Amino acid sequence: MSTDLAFALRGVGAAVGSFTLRDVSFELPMGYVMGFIGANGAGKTTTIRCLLGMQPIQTGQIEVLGHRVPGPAALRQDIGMVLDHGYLVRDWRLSQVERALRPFYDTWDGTRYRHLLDEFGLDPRAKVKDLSRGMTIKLMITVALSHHARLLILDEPTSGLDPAARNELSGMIGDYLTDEGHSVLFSTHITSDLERIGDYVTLIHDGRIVSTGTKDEILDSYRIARGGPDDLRDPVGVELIGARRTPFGIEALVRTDEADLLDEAVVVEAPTLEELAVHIAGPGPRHTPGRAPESGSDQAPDRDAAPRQAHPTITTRRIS
Amino acid sequence: MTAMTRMAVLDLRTIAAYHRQTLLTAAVAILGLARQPVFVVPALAWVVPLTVGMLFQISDKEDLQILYAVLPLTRHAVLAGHYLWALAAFLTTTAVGTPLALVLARAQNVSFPGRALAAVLTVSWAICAITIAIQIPLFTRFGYTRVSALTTFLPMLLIGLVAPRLHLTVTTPTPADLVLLGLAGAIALLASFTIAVAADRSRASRSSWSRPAGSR
Repeated sequence: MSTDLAFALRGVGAAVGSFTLRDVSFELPMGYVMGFIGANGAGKTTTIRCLLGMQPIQTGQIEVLGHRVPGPAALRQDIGMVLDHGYLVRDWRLSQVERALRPFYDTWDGTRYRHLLDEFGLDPRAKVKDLSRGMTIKLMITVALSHHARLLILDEPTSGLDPAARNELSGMIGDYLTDEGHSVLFSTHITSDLERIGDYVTLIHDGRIVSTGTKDEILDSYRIARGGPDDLRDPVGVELIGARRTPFGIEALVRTDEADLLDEAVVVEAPTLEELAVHIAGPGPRHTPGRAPESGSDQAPDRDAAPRQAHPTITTRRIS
Repeated sequence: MTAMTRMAVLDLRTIAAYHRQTLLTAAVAILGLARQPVFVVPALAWVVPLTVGMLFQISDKEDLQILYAVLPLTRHAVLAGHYLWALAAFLTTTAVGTPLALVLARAQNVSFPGRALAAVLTVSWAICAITIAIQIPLFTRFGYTRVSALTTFLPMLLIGLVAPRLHLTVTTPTPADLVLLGLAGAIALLASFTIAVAADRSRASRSSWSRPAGSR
């Protein structure tokens, strides 16, 4: 078992009713943020449930923070969970939340809890049920940070949040990552959330991992090709991934090393994460599952790298 | 504090958030039976299964299963904590109800000898323990909503069946009867815990946390 990994899933299969996770494999080195992207119903939440040991798996194995899952209950001392909805007693006041949860955590830091409530503008006298969605997410982050979780798992935390609140959440995660030992798994279908903070990206569709790797290598591995209605008809040596034809033209994802084979009339551009998600993990023809094509895939992302010109929204991610 | 105790305290804090309902139920039970002090303790003991139902109702409604899964606790400790909390609630209601029943009896010049008190306490224990023993595995396996009617009326049914008999025999219980009743409650709880662990395992394999429609 590796202590350098925040978590690793290897060949995980699990069934929930008629839905099945198949051969799910991906891992996150310690100290990074992974964006977990997929449409609604793709299997993100089920995968997270497996990761937490809440969902029994039929095949494969899972490691979290150096422990095989299901691990000791004490493992959850180091995991913070943020969902898109609250899971605390709605009639608790925020001060009562602390009193209720503190006994469970060896490293609970009450001063930090109160400080974070204050920093996030949360009134300790307020009741959980009176918080907005954004405030509820802030509360869950406060709880996670107050017991010094080393792995933060966020399941669709931004759905329903306005852009300002989403931006604030990105900042909070950035702050959290100032500690080298902290890692984040960020499940979302809003890819713009990850443009700024994601180091790694995993795309899931219909219970299968479609692509996983560092964000930059995945973005570098593909190009988005756009042409007129008669362009891109059976191009030789080029696989069109998730091609979408309309009466006005065609748009498809192609591998970067195959893009040079396209006709000059076809516009080829670097894709955004959203375009990748739409073409690889969206409805329609599917890309062959597997890791992103090699481009230094063993290399962890360079946190101090300069922003890419093609994607000005991708910045250095650490916010100190 | 052990994990089980921490869980019991969490249950207490969960119910405490809704203390008005619990206290109101207890007050109604006491007021309704004030003229028959012998029934005060069993009536208060009956409030305990009602609050157990309330605990599971809150748990279902507010996704506390997720909280329990996120906290550093085994599922075993979560279940054991529920039982421990229920036992503590019974002891509390008994500690409050017994002196209250004695005071009410004295105020009304009703005879309430020690032997009758022992019978009342033992029967209260048996009613409470057996009801909880039935409730918790059912709630654990099926959730509150699906079995709430059954587990709400069950305590009433038990009270209805046992109370008249109690009234007839409080002055003539044999020590053997009391021992048997006490043991029956304890054995029911032990068996219930074993069944609840199996029910929880079964539910865990198919449960899911609430989420927006369509997400998996």
